Order: sequence, then C-alpha cells, then structure tokens
Amino acid sequence: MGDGDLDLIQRIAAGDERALEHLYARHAQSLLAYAYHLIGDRQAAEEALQDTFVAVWRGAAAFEERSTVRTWLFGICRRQALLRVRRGPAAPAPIDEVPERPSEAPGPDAVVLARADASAVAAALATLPTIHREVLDLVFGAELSHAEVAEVLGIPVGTVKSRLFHARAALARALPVDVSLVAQGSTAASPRARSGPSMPPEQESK
Amino acid sequence: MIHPTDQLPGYVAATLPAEVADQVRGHLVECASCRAELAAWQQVSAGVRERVAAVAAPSPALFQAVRSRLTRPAVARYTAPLANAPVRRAVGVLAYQWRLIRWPTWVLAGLVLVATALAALSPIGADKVLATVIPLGAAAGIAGVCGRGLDPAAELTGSTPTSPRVVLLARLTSVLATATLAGLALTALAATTASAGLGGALAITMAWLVPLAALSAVSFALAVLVRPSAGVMAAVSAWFVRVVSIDGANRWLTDLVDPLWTKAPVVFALTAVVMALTIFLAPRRERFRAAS
Repeated sequence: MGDGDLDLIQRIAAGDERALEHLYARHAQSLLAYAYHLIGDRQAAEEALQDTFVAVWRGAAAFEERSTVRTWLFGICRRQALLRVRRGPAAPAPIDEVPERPSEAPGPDAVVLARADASAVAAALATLPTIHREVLDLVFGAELSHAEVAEVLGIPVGTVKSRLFHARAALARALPVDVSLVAQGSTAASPRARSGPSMPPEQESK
Repeated sequence: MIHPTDQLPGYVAATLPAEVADQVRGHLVECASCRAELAAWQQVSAGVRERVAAVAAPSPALFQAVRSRLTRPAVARYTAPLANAPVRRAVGVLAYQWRLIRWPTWVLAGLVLVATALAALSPIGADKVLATVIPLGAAAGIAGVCGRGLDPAAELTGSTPTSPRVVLLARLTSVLATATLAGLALTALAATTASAGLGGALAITMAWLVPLAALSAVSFALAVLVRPSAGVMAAVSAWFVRVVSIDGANRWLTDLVDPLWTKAPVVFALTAVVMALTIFLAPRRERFRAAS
C-alpha cells in the first residue's frame, strides 16, 4: 500500500487531480471515521476531511518521506479535526486509575473484555476520554503501527504502548460487568483520586 | 519467560513486521496467559472496527467539493503561449517599472540634475563634474530599483507569465536609459555653452559614460545577487577612492580605480558580461533563497 501511496503523492505534487482522487478513495473512509470520533460531529468531520485533502494537494511537493503517506494523512487530519473540537483542550490522562499490568496472569480488564461483545465494547468506547479512545482508533481503526501512531500523536513509542494499556483498562471499566470481577482488580475500580499511590502517568514499557 | 505483551495490539491489527508476528504466533501456541490477553485485544479491536464501520462512507459529493477548492500549486510556472505583439509587451513591461519610483525620488533626481547642470557650466569643467555625479547616481538608482528583496510584489510577479529576468532587465534598462539621457542632455548643454563642437562633446560623453558602465555593473551584480546595500557600498567605495586620489597623492589607489574611468573597451565589455551573468543568475539566487 505504501509504495502506491508514495507514487500518488509524487503525481499530486505534479498537479495530477486523478492521483488525488485515488488517494482519497484509499484513505477517505478511515480518515473520516477517525475525524468523526475525534470531533463527534459528522459535518465538522467532513469539513476536516475536505481540508485534509486540500492541504495534501497544496503540500504534496513538500512531503519529505520521513513518514509513511498514511501517517502523514492522519497527522494532517488530526490537526484539522482538533481545530474543530470546541470542547477545549483534551483532558490530561487520568494518572491514578491505572492498574499495573500483570506479567503472568491475564489482568482483570482482559477477563472483562473477553466476555463482552463487540457492540458493548463499541458503546463503551464512546464514553472514553479522547486521549484513550484516540490511540485505540489509530491502532485498530486506522491500523497504524505503534511507531506511526507515535508520530501522528507526537509522543514517544513507549507512551503509545502504555497509553494502549491505560485505554484498555479504562474501556474495561466502562463496560457493564459483574461486581465479582471488578472486585478482583480493586485498583482498577478505584475512582479518580489524585492523592492515590503515585504511579508514573505514562509508564514507558518496552 | 518473556511475554510479547506489548506486541499483541499490533499483532491483532496486523501491523507488525512479518518476523515479529511469527514470533508472537509461536509464543501464543504455548502461552495461555498471552492467549487471554490476545482475546481481550481482539475484543477491543472488534469494538473499534464496529464503530469505524458505523461511520457512513463519505459521499461522492464530498470529493467534488474538494476538487472545486483545488488551486494550482502556488507560483506555478506559466506554460500557456504568450499573446502576440512582443514589442508592445516589451514596452508595457518597461513602462510599468516606472510606477515603482515614488515622487520623492523624482524630486531628488531633478534637484541633482539641476545642481549638476550648474556645476557643469562652472569653471570646474563639464567632464569632471559629469564623471563624478552621473555614475554614482546611476549606481544608487540601480541598487534601489533592481536590488534583491526590494520588490513588495515579488511573489505575485513570480507567478505571472513575465519571467523575473525580463523584469530585472527592464528595470536595469530604465535606470541606465535615464542616466544616459540625463548625461547626454547635460553634455549637450555644456558643449553648446562652451562651443566645444562635436569632438569636445564626445570627450565629455566618454568621461562619464565609462564610469557609468563600470559602477552600474558593480552595483547591479552585488545588489541583485547579495543585497542592495552591498551594491551601493561597492559603487560608493570605488567612487570615493577615485575622488580622493584624483590629485595623484596616492598613486597606487589611483592605479587601482583609474581603469574604471578610462579604459573604455575593457569596461564596456566587462559590463556587458557582468550584467548578463547577473540576469542569468538572479532567478536561481531567488530560488535558492526560497529553498533555504
């Protein structure tokens, strides 16, 4: 996919509208979904998508191949989408409610998630803070590698990894579950409390 | 043993490199704990994908809206054939350069011209006066009109069908023509007043025409390729050295700049070469500046 994208970008840089249309056909759907879930408004998401491809048209000549084309597209789309988010800056990552990842046994959130169905997970995703949902959208929706997600979000790869686990834990908590399962992971169930046991906000995990 | 915990999301999304994915697959066969983790990530992935699938595909009208907003890339090269009537176009380009000169410049030039005329008619001698004033005026004018970075509409003119070289040539021509016409008028005035005849007029003309060419070339090259102040400074320096050494007190200085005032064939030839080279290099210099 990547090589074809690069070829398209070069043709776009030379002023080929058809190449832009090809690029659009390849990526518009996932970009629109990404923008829509960032903004929460279909019309604003469509505007962000339009602006993304107008920006691609103008900026194709400046594309330096330091990232993949898809990463570049998602980076532009993210900026365009965030311009339209009216809720103010994203809330900081909740720092205290993150459980340690177990090294051996599957964590309580893994057990909870394994029992849920996709619709319930999708519904729970909608309740997550943007910072958690976005990383899941980029990894599983946009199917970007961890390094690419790190580039789009402008954060280290280690942070992407830890943020993924934070997001999954938050997702598990948002699911309707048995009390007995939650009791197993008591740290996971504790409410947001800044005075709780200190833990690195985004632990680097290699 | 080491669990590939961090790789599992990438494994589910199928974004891992093939060899890493193979290692993970091998590990999953023998590790129930990681299989449970994997199942959880698969559920997350299914949820995310369901949400993505729930977003309706963009309508075809959306791309049409994008298409309608496309402009050509900024400052594209004009490729269509130019209209006919090249002479009329050349005159037009030339005439439009005059609008760049503001009225204070015209007033100042007029005052200098009157003062020069009065001095040329005095006992100092028309040749010395004109050889002192006209080259310096022309050099300053060239730096001020052709100098790099002085054109407020440079980006705009860069996208017009007229080449930046043509514009530069038109501006150079304007200043040189003005200076030469002023010189010829003053020469005619002085020669007529002194009844010097055609030979005398020619001698006066050569006295200012040679340094006019020399200083203009120096100023033009430096103002266009480096910066306007460099062109002015170089011209003024040569001029100053000539003025202070005219009494022969500093022989070596005189030897240094004297050829610029006297060696007509060499000066004219070098002037043509330097100016042509500058016009050739100017757009490249601009592009280099834009890129850096």
